Amino acid sequence: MNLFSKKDAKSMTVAEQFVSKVEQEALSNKIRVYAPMILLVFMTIVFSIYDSHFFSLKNLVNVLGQMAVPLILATGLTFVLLLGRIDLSVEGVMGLVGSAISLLVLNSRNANDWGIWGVILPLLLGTLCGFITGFLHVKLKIASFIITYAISTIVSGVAVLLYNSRPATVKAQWIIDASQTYFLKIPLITWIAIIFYLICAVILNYTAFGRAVYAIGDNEAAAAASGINVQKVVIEVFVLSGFAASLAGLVALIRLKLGQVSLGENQMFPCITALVVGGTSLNGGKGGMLQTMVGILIYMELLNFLTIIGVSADYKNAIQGVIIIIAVALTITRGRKVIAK
Amino acid sequence: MKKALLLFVVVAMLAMTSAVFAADEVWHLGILVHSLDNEFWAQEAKGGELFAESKDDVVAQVLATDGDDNKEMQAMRDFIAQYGDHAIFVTDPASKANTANVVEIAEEAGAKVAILWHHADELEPADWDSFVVHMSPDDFVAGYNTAKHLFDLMDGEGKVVALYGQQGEDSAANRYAGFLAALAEYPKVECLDMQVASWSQDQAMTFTQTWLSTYEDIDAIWAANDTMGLGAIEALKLEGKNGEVLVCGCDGIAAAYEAIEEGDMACTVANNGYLLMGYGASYAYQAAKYGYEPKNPVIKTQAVLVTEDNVDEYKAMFIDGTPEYDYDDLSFCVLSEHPSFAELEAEDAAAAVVTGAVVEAAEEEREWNELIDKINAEIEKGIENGEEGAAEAKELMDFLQGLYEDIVSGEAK
Repeated sequence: MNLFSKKDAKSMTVAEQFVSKVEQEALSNKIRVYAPMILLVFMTIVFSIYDSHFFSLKNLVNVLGQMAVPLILATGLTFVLLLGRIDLSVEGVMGLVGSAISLLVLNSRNANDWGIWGVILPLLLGTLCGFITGFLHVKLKIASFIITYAISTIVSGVAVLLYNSRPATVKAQWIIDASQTYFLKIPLITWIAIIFYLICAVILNYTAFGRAVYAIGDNEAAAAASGINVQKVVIEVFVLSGFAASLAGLVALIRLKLGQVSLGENQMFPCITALVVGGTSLNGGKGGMLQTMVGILIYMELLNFLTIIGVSADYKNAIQGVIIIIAVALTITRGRKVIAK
Repeated sequence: MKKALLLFVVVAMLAMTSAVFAADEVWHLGILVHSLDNEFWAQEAKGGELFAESKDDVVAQVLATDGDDNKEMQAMRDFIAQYGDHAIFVTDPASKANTANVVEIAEEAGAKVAILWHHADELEPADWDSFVVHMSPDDFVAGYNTAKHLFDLMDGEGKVVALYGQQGEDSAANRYAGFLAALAEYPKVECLDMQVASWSQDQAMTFTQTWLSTYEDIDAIWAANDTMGLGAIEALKLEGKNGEVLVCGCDGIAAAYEAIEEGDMACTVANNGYLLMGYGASYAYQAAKYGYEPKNPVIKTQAVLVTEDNVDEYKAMFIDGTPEYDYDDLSFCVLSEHPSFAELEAEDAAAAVVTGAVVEAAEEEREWNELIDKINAEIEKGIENGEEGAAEAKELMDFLQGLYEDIVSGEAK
């Protein structure tokens, strides 16, 4: 087995070592890509057999509805993770955009009724937050987890000031209708998420921008040397992530109707977990949209199943933790250092 | 001219200072709350400010702790460094454990503090000079009252599910204990499932959706706070079951009052942050200024069950306006008062024994009645089939039953 060939390393020539490492890498890549898919299929079958409620149409529709917010966030975060960065501001931006929309459309707090502009302007605002984040990250060379955390606290604070501690309930009929609209039995918000996901999948896989993202994530210096405008791409990725967070804020508001900062609470880490479980590496350069979808499905199915069979919250947290460790262990790029030497 | 100007400036400054220090002493009230992004915490902070406005010699400042122990301690130290023993505090502490630190910091500086909601084990107000009073609405009663209201609306029969708050929090545990106590009193109400939704609207909605696809006949959803109740309502709305499946909340936020008005929510409890922090501040102030020491420093405060019958009144008071209280009448806020936590726990334990005994007795009576029904049914069957001795058995049973009822009503000789 390649995995156990380390002991013999001393007796090998440099070339042999290199070949062995490449083989090892190829194997771990295969595990990373296919293991989550096999797991997803396996889980679905086992869960369906274990409890008949799981595969019922009603439950699947529920899961699809609950998936909308994580899928949108994860889609945006895929780009960020592929760059080897992280975006902690998505929760704050979600809260800000959701709160702003709830105050601009017909609501219980004030007399505003801006119609569609009440949605478009906050979306632009959230996207602008992404731009500012990316710009500061690139120009001031502040580590992404620090700058995005700072932006997150700023925008959450602004959001609370907007609604002055008393969140508004959305009364606009078209938003209420949107939450109860279904096409082909799938909720409208899930369609929004799926369309956004597909557009991003095309961008990532079939454009120069997408290839640049992979290149930067794999090796930033090499990417810069080959003529990629790294700064521009990084900023664009944060803009995209900001837009994704804004869209997620809108979708969460459509779901819950109450515009407050907590719309975004505890949304980001589950998404990152799902991404890692799907096979996207936290170190950048590895992963993709397919892995994102697989990861989200695994995560949502698991949560849903644990609720259906009535597992208590303690075990649920523990189970999630174990899954993260396994997933991260599988996606760590073993041998990278050796090749880079 | 210059002199006149100088004189004017000096006089103006003196006037300003004397305006601030009109009363010879000014007390600086530090209002320590988690943050203002939660409606209830904002209500609390406002309550503290309303109290300060009602007094000429109190200046209030809101210090947000973000639920962080260190931030809370730092804020207190900074405040004390500025105002010394003229600092007074009212706090909704960052955590249960941190209340001990809060008291120690205040004790060191000789500042008075009133603590709301949480308290560390064995931390007794009576043992500390600075720890004036501990105030909290009775979470157990709140959970019990909302549950009881739901069960009464269900005519004491049906199926309920429960949304628990945050694990490891007193409030969440006590509210759920109240729910369980009410549940024990209604033998025909069955609890299908409980899930920990961590006070989150999103999680509550998700759990409710899953429940609705797993169980077909849920009559009521008990939620430990309003936000979770509102999440459950959103899930019900998607199935057109809002108003049909009963939902309760707790805390009394604006959106919950609206949901009650619209008939989507059955009830909530107005925990009344205004009263809690306003009176907490008042206790600390009275202690600092007059050396007042309450005899019973462990206080459970008034909290009202809000239903469709009284929602207008409380919405007008808490949401559209702010309540006006006479903060000098300290007893106004008191639902029950206790000399110490130890005594309160002893009382609770005694009450639990009584409740337990009542529940057990009810259980026994039910089993007994079931047995009698069974025997009677057998006898009826016997009579129908013309079995020998059936009629005598019936007579005997009737006699015994009559005797039993006489004993129960105390008329037996």
